[in-house]
Amino acid sequence: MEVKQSHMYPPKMELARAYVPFQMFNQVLSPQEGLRRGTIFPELVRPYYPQDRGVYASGS
Amino acid sequence: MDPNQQALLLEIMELEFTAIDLNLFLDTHPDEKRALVLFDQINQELTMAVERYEQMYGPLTASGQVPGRDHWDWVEGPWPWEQTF
Repeated sequence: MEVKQSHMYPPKMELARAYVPFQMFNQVLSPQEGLRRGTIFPELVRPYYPQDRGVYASGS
Repeated sequence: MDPNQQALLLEIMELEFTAIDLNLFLDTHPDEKRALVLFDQINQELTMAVERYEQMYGPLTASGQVPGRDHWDWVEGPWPWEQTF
């Protein structure tokens, strides 16, 4: 059976594969910065801007 | 609220947040020495800041009640909704 897949993903991505890279300990932010940014790990800082949704976002 | 009290409260929030984030990291990296050292240091700073705060401004939690008092200080404000940061 031919399965139709979304064209929004890069080619050759397999179904049902997920991974999480293991985090390493590097420099951390100061407690002041950490509370403001929501994490003390600079590599995990992910500001949230509801207006710019990613390419994978669904909905209207 | 007195600006000194507000500043100390913010410092406690910052240290608490840092301790929790290190806590989460250490849950998956229990042998990471640098994280352990930092956790100890932050935790110590937090304990000291809480002690300082409670001596000057009253308990942050009910268990911060100073022994031997004839008043239950916990009911004294300010409550979280009475503050603006």
